Amino acid sequence: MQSGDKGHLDGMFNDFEYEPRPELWDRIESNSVAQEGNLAPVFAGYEYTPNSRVWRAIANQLQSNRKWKAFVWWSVAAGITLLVSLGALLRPGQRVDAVKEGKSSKWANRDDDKRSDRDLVSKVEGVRASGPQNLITDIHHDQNNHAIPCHTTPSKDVYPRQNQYSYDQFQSVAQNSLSDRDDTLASEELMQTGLASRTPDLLKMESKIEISDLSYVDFTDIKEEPTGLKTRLGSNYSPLASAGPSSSLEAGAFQSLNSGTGSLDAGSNALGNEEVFQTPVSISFALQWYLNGRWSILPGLNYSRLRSEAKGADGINGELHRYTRDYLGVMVGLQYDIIQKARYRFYATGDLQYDIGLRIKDNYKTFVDGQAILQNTITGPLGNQAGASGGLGLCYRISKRIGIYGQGTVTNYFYQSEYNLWSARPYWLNVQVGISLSL
Amino acid sequence: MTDNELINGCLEGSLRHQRELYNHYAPKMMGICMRYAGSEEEAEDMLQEGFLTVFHRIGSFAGRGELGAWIRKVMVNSALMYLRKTKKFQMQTELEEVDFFLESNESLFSHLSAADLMQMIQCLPAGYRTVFNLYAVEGWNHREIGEKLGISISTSKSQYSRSRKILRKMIETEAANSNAIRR
Repeated sequence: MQSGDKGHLDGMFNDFEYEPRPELWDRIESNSVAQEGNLAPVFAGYEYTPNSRVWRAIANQLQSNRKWKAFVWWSVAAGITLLVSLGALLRPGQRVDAVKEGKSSKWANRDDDKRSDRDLVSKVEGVRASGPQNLITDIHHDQNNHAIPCHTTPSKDVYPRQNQYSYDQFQSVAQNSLSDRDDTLASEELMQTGLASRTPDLLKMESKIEISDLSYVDFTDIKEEPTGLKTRLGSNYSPLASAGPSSSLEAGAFQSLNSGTGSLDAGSNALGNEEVFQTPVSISFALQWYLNGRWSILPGLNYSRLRSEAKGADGINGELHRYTRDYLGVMVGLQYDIIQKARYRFYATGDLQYDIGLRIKDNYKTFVDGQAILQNTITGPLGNQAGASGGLGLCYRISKRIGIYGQGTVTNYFYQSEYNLWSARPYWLNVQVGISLSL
Repeated sequence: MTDNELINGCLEGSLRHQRELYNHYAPKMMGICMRYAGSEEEAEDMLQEGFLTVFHRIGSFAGRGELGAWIRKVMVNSALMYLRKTKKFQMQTELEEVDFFLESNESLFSHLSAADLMQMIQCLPAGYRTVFNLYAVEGWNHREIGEKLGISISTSKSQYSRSRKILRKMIETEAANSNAIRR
């Protein structure tokens, strides 16, 4: 090779660049780690005895955690006991408002075509004096617009579950007996079912039938309905005249006053329309204990509100019924964290829940030519229920211990003393939002 | 007492077993906390929080590895949490040019004892100290460090590079002082 050729390529590669493969850096880095991570052996045997105060602080913390946990468990247990006891005491059917003494003369007037008012009042009051006062909770009407105070259907609480007859059969017999207004027939039919003699509650129901079959009241002069709840009704207006006998607003209204059975479907039947349910929303507070890295248990309280609506046929002349049910529940949830991040977690949940019925609130409006001419708001006690639910949720941690969560669940109520959304739509989605406190 | 007995006792909430486990592992874990802390008090706080987490979460120890390694992992996480919570380290997020050392840690720190090195590491600012510990001692790579501390890979490299510079300077100063005394 000549020396002149040597300098020929000189400077040719000065600006030469070649993009290295991306994985090259990873190789350099991993080699680097192999080198740089080698300080580990230097500290392998390094120990430093901590001051004894560290263990004292840890032990104190452990003890106080234990006391706090015990306190919370006892509180939860006491709360559940209290709520269950209250629930048992406030069972529907036992708390339905009584017909108030001295009010009967206001709602019972003479009807010359039918039986004597005085007879009716004395009979009603006679029964009232001798038996429980929570029997008259409903009103039926005959074809001449005469209101019949009665207790058409016993609640599911009253109906014995172990009975060989289905609740529907029983209800049907009771309903027919009442509408026939034949006390002998009513008693006979009930006796034929064999139900009447089974429980004291059913014997009470016989008394109710007796009352209903003997009672005739001119509805147009009712100022106050039997439960003592005020009815804003114009003195000369009879809604039955406009609504017609088969679609009586009052039938719906007063049916819902009974111990709850059929309160929602009574409304919808009265209107002949499907009831429109709103998604139930619950607000909750729960304590959370992690059993291990993923599983946690959450006892807590929640408040649920169910709402539904049924409308009349054309929206101008007709009725609008709004039903509200409020529950306070005690729940115990078991959660599994599917995704855990620093700020949030996505989880699957299974809950057991016992709901204390707080209140029924039903609002009825009658419209004529688009104007509400009659409005009636009825409140009353609500039965309890117990169920199990499952679903998915998302919890956002706003601090180390406190999280805000929202979950969608489907609930199956295995014990339910009231007809409501969850009876009509067992797989309806419930939305639950709340705060969790991690312990 | 075996590790299994300790674990079962702790799961039952026995204070005696918890104390036993603490006595067995505390000195080693305190050594780890000292590397991450700026002072002994800080290290004690880290140790306390770390052991509380250990007792709280011992049910999640699957038993596949060594209990000591699991506790060490919990302790490092606990130290990082402590530093984050007390806002001890302020990472510089700007991208800096990182110099790559051909010289290994071994040659730089070979003549130092663990105690000497510990003293120097403790003098580092919290951010540098944390990254240096995670990279040079725990053996994490910069990607892992970035993910754990919520910083970029470049920031992690930058922090590590600076910590090395500072440590090298400390060693040189130390060596110069020693030579001066000998003379």
